[in-house]
Amino acid sequence: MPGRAPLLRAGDLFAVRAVINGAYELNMLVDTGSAFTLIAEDWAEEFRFKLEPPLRSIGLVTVERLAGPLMLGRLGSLQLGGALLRGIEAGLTRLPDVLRVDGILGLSFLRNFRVTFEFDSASLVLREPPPARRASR
Amino acid sequence: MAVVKKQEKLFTEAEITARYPNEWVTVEVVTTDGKGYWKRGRVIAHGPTREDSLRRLRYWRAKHPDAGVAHVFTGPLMEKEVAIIVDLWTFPLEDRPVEEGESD
Repeated sequence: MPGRAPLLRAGDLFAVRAVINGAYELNMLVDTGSAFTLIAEDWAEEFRFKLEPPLRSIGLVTVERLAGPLMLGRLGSLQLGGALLRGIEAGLTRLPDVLRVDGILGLSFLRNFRVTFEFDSASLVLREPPPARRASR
Repeated sequence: MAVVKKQEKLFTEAEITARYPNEWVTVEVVTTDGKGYWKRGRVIAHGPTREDSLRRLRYWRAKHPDAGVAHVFTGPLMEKEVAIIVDLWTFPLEDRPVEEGESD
């Protein structure tokens, strides 16, 4: 399902508004350098939000350091500007306080689309990939 | 920090931004648009820090398990004079499934 979401300025970066599991709306930094979609763990704790199985543990590395293990699981759904995906893999982690967002939208979501950053119209455009690529996801 | 006890008035995001500038706000979503984004809602909690808007929400959530909620900051999404590089790579740490309850 294609979608178009407003790009929100976050300093020199960009964020989008996303809806998780049809019930949780939050701002997420768009990060094509992040392998996974991440949710702020303090937000998840207060809202009693849990990842869905299957769960697995991997190592997390940032530019400057090894940040430790990251627990991954599945989101029931993630909706963005009309585009909706079910069961994408995501992790819970602590985010820097200077970022006033509750998540990072990474490649585990973005790679399912043909993504266009329209900076002039401040939009993130998500198009369906060709059928052959969709089949190999 | 303010946890709003009971609020009947519904607000749009523009109204909440004007009412609580540069604050974290948690909203119970009442109506949404065609893309699933909230249009009008009740303010549950707000404050200048992230903790203000999240504190005690687990108790609210326990009473409203099916309600839609939005969590937003009404000012700039990044502090001024900060440059940040967010690149997160991952590598296999333990190729094993996680037992039920281990992530709690």
